[in-house]
Amino acid sequence: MAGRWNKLWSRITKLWKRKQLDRDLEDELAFHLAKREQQNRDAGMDAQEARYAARRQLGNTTSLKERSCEVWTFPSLESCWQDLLFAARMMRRNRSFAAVVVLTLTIGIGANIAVFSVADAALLQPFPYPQSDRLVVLHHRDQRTGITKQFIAIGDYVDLVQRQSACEELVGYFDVQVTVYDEGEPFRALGISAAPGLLELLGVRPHLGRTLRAEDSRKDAAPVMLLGYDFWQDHFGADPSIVGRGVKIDRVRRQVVGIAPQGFHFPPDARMDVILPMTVPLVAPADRKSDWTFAVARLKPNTSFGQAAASFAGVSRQLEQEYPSSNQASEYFPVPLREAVVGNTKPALLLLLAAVGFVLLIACANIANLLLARSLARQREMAVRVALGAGRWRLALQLLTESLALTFVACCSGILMAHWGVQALVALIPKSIGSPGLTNVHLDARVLAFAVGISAATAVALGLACAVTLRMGNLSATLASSRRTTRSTPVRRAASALVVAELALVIVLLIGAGLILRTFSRLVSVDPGFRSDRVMTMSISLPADRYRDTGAQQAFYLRAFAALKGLPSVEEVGAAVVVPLTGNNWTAPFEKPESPVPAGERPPEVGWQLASGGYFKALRLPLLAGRLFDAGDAHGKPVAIISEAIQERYFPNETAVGHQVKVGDQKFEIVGVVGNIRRSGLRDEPREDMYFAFESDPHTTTTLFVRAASDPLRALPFLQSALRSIEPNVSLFEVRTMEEIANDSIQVTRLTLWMLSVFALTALALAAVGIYAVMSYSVTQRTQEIGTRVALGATKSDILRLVIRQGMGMAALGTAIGLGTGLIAVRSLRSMLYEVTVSDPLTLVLAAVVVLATALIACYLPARRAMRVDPTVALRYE
Amino acid sequence: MSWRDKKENPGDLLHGTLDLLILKALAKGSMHGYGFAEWIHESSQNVLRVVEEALYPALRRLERKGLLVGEWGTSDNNRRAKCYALTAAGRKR
Repeated sequence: MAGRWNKLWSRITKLWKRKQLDRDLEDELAFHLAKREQQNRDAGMDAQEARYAARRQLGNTTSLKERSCEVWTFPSLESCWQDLLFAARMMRRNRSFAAVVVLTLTIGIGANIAVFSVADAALLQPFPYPQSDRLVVLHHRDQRTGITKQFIAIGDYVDLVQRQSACEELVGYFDVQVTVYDEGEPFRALGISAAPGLLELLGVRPHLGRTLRAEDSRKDAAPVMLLGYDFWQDHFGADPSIVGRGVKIDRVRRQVVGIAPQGFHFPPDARMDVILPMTVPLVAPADRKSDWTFAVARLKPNTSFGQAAASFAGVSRQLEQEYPSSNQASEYFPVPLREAVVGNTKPALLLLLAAVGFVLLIACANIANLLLARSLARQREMAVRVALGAGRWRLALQLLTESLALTFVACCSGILMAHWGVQALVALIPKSIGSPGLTNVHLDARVLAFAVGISAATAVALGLACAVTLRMGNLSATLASSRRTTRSTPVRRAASALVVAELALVIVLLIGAGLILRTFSRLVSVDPGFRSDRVMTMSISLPADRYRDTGAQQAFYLRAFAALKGLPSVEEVGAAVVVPLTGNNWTAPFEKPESPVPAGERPPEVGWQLASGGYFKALRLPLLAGRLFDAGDAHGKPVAIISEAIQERYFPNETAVGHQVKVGDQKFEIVGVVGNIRRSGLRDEPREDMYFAFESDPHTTTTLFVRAASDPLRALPFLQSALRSIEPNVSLFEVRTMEEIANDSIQVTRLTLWMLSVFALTALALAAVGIYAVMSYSVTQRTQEIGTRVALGATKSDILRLVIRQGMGMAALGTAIGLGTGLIAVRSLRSMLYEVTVSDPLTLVLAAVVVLATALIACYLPARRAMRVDPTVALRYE
Repeated sequence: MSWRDKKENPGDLLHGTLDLLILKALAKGSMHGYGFAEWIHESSQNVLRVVEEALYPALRRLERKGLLVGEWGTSDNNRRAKCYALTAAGRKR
């Protein structure tokens, strides 16, 4: 065994000593020849003849040298090196050709790498928790309305924790916003409150101190908290003595018992400043849906996702039977954590991956055509090589090496391009689409492996395309003929087939882009039910300790509304807890006291909103009957406003104003009816919504809606100073115009559309170039034939028709195939479309027209050249 | 190494035979390349003249396999010549 390694080592070292070995062999052969020459001279030949005879006898010294050296080293490596050098020389000689190929491939490969790295970060990169692919969050679905919530009712949570069997542990958590009172001004911090077991579930080991324990969540426990690592660094200067000290959070002084490890975020896109213990009731409260919590769990080791879904469905049905008045038609189902976080970007990303893959395929088809044409031109060179003794495999290998060299260069520049492209892409994705991976998309090992893989596949495909032409030519005939380039019908057919395939792919891309475009234009023009122009939203948080009771909060808001409305740049001011078009689905049960829901049934749920009268005015929500909330509702009897849908459904023949509505245990009087809005997103149908008076039940953290006279952002500083003059310690954050929010809600569609259009247009341009190249080449090939035809009496228009027919024949075939495949392929887009059918005829027709028109234009120049063929010149062309 | 051998030109009929001839010749004493050619020529009565071309690769092969060892020296006509001798492994063959 050692002998083998020695031999391998000696082979490797001999690679370096090659020159020395060559010289040695030269010397040996020279000696041999000298002796033979001497012998011949002695035998009587003259000097020159003696030398020639000696040489003849020795034979082919070149072959001899080659074979001798082969024995020493790795001939395959050496021939690879030779091929590479040759490829480099070819590239240097045909600079423009190489440039075109490398540029095309760079764009194709680079785009693929960019899209893949974004998709990888969003869809593939594991979350930083143990076994994160087995983590699920629990969602709630109202089977009657189909509305899903991403959290579960607190009463059901208690029962689910005890009864569920599919997961190891079901743990609740909720996002919190708190005011931190440390040195200096109080400021806002974000975090979660975690039920016992959450940190263990997520594998959190504290950087300092300890994690939260079950005892910390008891009602009588001393208040404690954990600090997030970045928060600890930024605000406490990474001071380790903070552990054990107390910090005032909201109204409670909490002792810091530990620091979370660096990089811990849960949910993955959340900011983790503080982690508080969540108090969980041991028994489900009578009003099971009085509060809601998020819940996360890990599947048990041998449980599949489907089994878990079935198990939770079973428990949901149990709860439905035991508590029909609150749980009827309530269903709890698990959703993988990744899907819950990344959600609606997955189909878009997959679509873009497919699209960019198409672009690469089309680019490769073009380059294959180019290489085919060039290899036809090189037939003579190949024929000569074969005559000199090169094996066909060796030639094929050499062609493969050439395409590998080109692809390698393109891969490197493609990676560079992807690096910048990705930065640009990520900057365009709105922050509202959470996914931590998206914020640090970088070219990691997996992406690079993908890049290398795709480049290698491309190179092999291209090399094969060339190598195949070696078989297609009759090499001896090539040598014999004096023509520069050879004709080859199979090659021409292959080129045409490639063009047809390109066009089919382009059609599919155009159909996809067209459908998304129509979806987008529908979304942009849909009426949400309110007006979002010149409206600004601003989140506001009052310091908790100064505004403990409702009276103080009401007083503040009264002064705030008055002060803001008094500003000259402000038209209307309101406050509301739920911001429209942000995916909010909070509901409340709706019941008419005079026709109560029978025992054993759950009242229907309608949308819930807490808003002041100014909210409706700021958003220009039309008032259809009755009145809006006003200052008098702060202390009067409980009131509510309903949307038109509720009026139509539950009060069909009368006005709802004046009637009572029962929500849980409380009764409210309906004082007004407003128009329906599309509440959680533009794709939603306008729904039943119920509004409660903010004046009577204000929150310390809420959102202000301000309609400005002109540009809302210019009014912002005045708003901020006005509010601060009433309450200096108020926190103002997340300032966004309503238009921004509306735009963000369809940002995924917009981005998808933009990128898909770029890809489709690139593909169209590439296909046009492809058609032009093939047609141009074909015309060159057929020059003689055209000349003959003209000589025999064909007119210019006949020639034109000839060429155009050939080109448009390919285009028509490609279009037909593309339409057929496209119709099947775009079915997968159904979830992304809005009010557009998958087989939208307008889109199909437009796509076909665009492609055919492009093909016609691409054929035009070669056709013109064909028309100009001078028969005398053509017939002499040989 | 065996994989190298597999790639040898299978059309080389005298492949293994030539190796044996060389080893046999060297059993009598060390020689250089030209000496082999002459020895083969003499021993086979002019029949095996054609193998001169295959001689040097064969010598290399046997040297790589460790059955021969080569030594450089100066010949009588002041040229460098390489002399081959059997190694212990070669003698066993």
